[in-house]
Amino acid sequence: MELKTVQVMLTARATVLTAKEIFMANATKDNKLSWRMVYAGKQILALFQSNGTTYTRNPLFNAETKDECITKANALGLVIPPEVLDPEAARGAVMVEKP
Amino acid sequence: MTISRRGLIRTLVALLMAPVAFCQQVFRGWPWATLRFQTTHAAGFSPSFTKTGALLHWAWGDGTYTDSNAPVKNYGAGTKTFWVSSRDGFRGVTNFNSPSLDFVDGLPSFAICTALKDFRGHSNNFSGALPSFAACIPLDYFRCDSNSFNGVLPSFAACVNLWTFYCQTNSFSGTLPSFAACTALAYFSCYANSFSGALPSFAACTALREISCSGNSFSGTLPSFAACTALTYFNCGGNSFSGTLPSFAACTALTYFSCLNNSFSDVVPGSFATQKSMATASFSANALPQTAVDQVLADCVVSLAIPGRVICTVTLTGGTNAHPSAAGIADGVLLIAAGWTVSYN
Repeated sequence: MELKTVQVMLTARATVLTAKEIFMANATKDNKLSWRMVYAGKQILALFQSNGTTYTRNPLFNAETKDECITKANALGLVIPPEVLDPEAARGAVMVEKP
Repeated sequence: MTISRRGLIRTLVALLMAPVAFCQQVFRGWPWATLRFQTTHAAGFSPSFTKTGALLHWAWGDGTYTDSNAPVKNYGAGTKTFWVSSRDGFRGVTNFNSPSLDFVDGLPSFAICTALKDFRGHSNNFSGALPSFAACIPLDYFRCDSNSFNGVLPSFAACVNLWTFYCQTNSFSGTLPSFAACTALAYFSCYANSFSGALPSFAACTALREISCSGNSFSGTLPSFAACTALTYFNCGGNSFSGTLPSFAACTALTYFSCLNNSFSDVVPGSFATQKSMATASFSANALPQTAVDQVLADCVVSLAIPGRVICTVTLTGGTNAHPSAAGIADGVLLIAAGWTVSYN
């Protein structure tokens, strides 16, 4: 799925960051419901289904299905933490022992 | 004095039953309390009971018999029945650890296992109603998730030592009983069932670290989790909650928060300004007006000032969530510049 790059300008509103910084961000091209995968280096930061527009400075992959994202992740050699793949299923996958 | 016929019958029945009741008291659990299981497991089979005191005795559908605690059987295909018996009424059994052994049919009552601390019967094919564990007072670890249990979840209020409770991915319905008496509860999951009505308060569970109630039909307002200051994981997505999302400002240890696919219509200012390690915050598919969308983004910007704040994915898309105002977009830009991923309508 095609992505777009948006030019973002920080204004003097910035209190945490330096004002007047201009940076490029990745964004989904349209508002259609799709799976979005954000990664940095070999780590997947987020994998979620959403409509609306997603903005990030990190690499963004956009696909119709979750499987397409996983295929892409495998092709890129990304690490897929169970927490990212399915946060709910990860609840029971790891046996938490009472201290 | 006249005695009615009904009263006379009642008295006679009581007199006849008295010796039975006496014997039940004297020989309680003896002889041979028995639990019956059925399984379709074809490979080597070793359900595990941990116990002190008397041996457990295993009787198999093929007529074999053993005193071993963990017999390995290989019956091949088909449904097999076996019985576990105990001469001391299972009073020494502390653990039942048999996940993924293809158990089918109903789970026998463990009410006779009054020393049971740890129950792990998850990832089987148990069906029917979950029997009561109210007699298992020491129970602190309970997993019946990933089965086919249905009906109403029995109360675990007597299990005041409960620390982990997982019943997710079953077909439980009706209201969720209160776990307020389980003040040691740290891990709770009931996601992917058919619970309905109000979510009971977990305010007394101040040790709560993770809770998921997603994928049910809970409705009404969400109770406050402000007392659950150790909370790291919160997921109430995919229900029918409405009204104002209560404040999570006191839950500073949150790493994951999701309330997606509900009908929340407002947030409390400052709710999401205090979490240093929150990496996922999903508000998608709700009914948040522009002021609420802006407030979430503003809170997140405030949290950037926390030393060591991890980057986060914030989603405010879908449903009837409003598009942020210019000020909200400006806050979103700050977050994106800081390495966050931000989604909105």
